[in-house]
Parts: sequence; C-alpha cells; structure tokens
Amino acid sequence: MGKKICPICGYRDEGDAAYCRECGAKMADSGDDVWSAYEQRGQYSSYQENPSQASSGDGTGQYSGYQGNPSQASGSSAGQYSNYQDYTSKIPYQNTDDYGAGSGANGLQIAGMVCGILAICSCCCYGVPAVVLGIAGIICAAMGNKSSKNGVGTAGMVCSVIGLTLGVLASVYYGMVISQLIQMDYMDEILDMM
Amino acid sequence: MFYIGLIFLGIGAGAWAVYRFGVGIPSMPCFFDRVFGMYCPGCGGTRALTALLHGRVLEAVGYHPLIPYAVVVGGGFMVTQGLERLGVGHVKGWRYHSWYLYVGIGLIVLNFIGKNMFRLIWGITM
Repeated sequence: MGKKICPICGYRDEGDAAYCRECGAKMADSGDDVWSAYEQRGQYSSYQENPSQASSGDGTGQYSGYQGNPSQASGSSAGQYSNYQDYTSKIPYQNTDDYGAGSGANGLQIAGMVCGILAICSCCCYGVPAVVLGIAGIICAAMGNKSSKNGVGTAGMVCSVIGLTLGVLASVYYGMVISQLIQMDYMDEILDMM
Repeated sequence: MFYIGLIFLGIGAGAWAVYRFGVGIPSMPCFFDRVFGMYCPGCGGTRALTALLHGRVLEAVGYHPLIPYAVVVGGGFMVTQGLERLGVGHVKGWRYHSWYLYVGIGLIVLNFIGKNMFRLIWGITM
C-alpha cells in the first residue's frame, strides 16, 4: 500500500517513513490489521479532528481515554501492551531531534564524539583547547554510554582520550618552551612584536 | 542534534573571534612536528578554513578535507533543520546519521596518513 500511519499520534505519511515526523514513534503500515482496527474505531481520527476535546477531561492529557481503557487500547494486538505507557516505553525514539536516525546514538554520545574529533584536531593550539574538549568528550561519552552503549559512544570515548592525551603532551611541551623563553628574556620581545 | 550543533557553532564562533580579534596569541611551531617529526592530525585546518572563507574550495580540500566536509554536512544539516523548525517553505531538515561522524574521523585519519606519507616517503612538504 505504501501508506504509513503513526500508532501514537495518528500522523499519516504518504511516503515510506520509518518513524513519525510528528512524534518520533515507529510507523506502521496503515494496512496492518491492528492499525486498520484502530482506524475503523476512529480512536485517533477523533483526536486529530478535535485535539482540544481530547486533551480536556481529567487532565491526564490527550490520551486520557486511551489510558482509562487499556483493554480497548490493546485491541487486536493480542494484549501485547497493557496500557499506553507500556507501549510508549518500547518506542526507540521519542525525541523529535532523533527521529529517523536509526543509529541508536543519544545526544551525549554524539556530543562526546564531536568533542573528541575537535580535541584531536586542536591539539597543536597550545594544547589547552584539546584538554578542555577531551575532558568534555570523555564526560559526555561516559554519561551517554550509561543509558545505551554503541559504536558512537565508544568512538567518542576513544577520540576524546586520544585528544586529551595529545592535549596534555602539547600543554607540557608549550609550557616548557614558554618557561625557557621567559628565563632567556625572549618572551617579552615576542609579545612586543605582536 | 540541532541544539548540540548550535552549542558547537557558538563555541566555534567564540574561539574564532578570540583568535581573530582578541588578545594577540604568539605563533609557536607545532609541537607534534617538533616532537614526532610529523604533521599533526589537524594540520592545515586553519589554512583550509581561511581558503574556504575566500572561496577557494579545492585549495581548502587540499589543506584539510575535514573543514569543507564539515561546512557542507554540518552547514546543510543546521540550515535545513533551522528552516524546517521555522516552517520556511516546507523544507525538510536533513536527518542525523552516525556515518556523518565516522566519515569525519576517516577524513582526519586519511589527511594524517596521506600528508605524512608524502612527507616521510617522498619528502614532499605541504
């Protein structure tokens, strides 16, 4: 059929998107039995047509009716999920920033890897930026690896450690050079030339 | 990802402003070159950025391929994502893929090995 529907927010995509462009949930074929049943019941279409009505009521949000009747929600999916929270906890990407990523990497792991790359490249800039970026990268990668471990997190950690090592070596080298220049009274001349 | 990109863009712009307009930082020889006798992994980055800002794309690729690559991929990602978030002209923002970063690492390794091979084997300096 080629037409996808989001089981969470009801967003319809004419293309072949793997994840919902609205909420980030995994898309299902609208032809699948379970979602056809939902469509026939109009559970999601009513929300799309009148969101204000759906979000009113007991204050639990747009899916209050859904939560209140788990048996209805599970429908023909043979009771795989007993309620909405159980279902959404299985969704891999709920952050719209990550939809369609397909990599499983979280933001901290990506930040760690970027910091590691920049740390390696900036090691010759007196070493200080590399030390700062290397430490930041290690912290980000370690925190990101706590929630999920994957290639991006590991690569970020490796790059950050390499960057930090190079940064420390560069800092020591430049520290020794500058101290020698100061002892030889050359540093003032260099700074005067700037 | 978009907000992480914004943070790094801000840090990069700040670092460039300090380098360009801030306190005079005396130029020192590269420690990697002095200690190991090789070009460092980031060698040519500043020259590549300068060449790119002056519109010399091929020259920038020669100095350090990571810089033009980062500008194209990172810039494209940030611009399209920004336009999508602003709702300008139904633009669909590029999606993040991990290979963006793996290619970046590959370019650093390629630049490092390639330049040092030219220097150490054939004696061609860059």
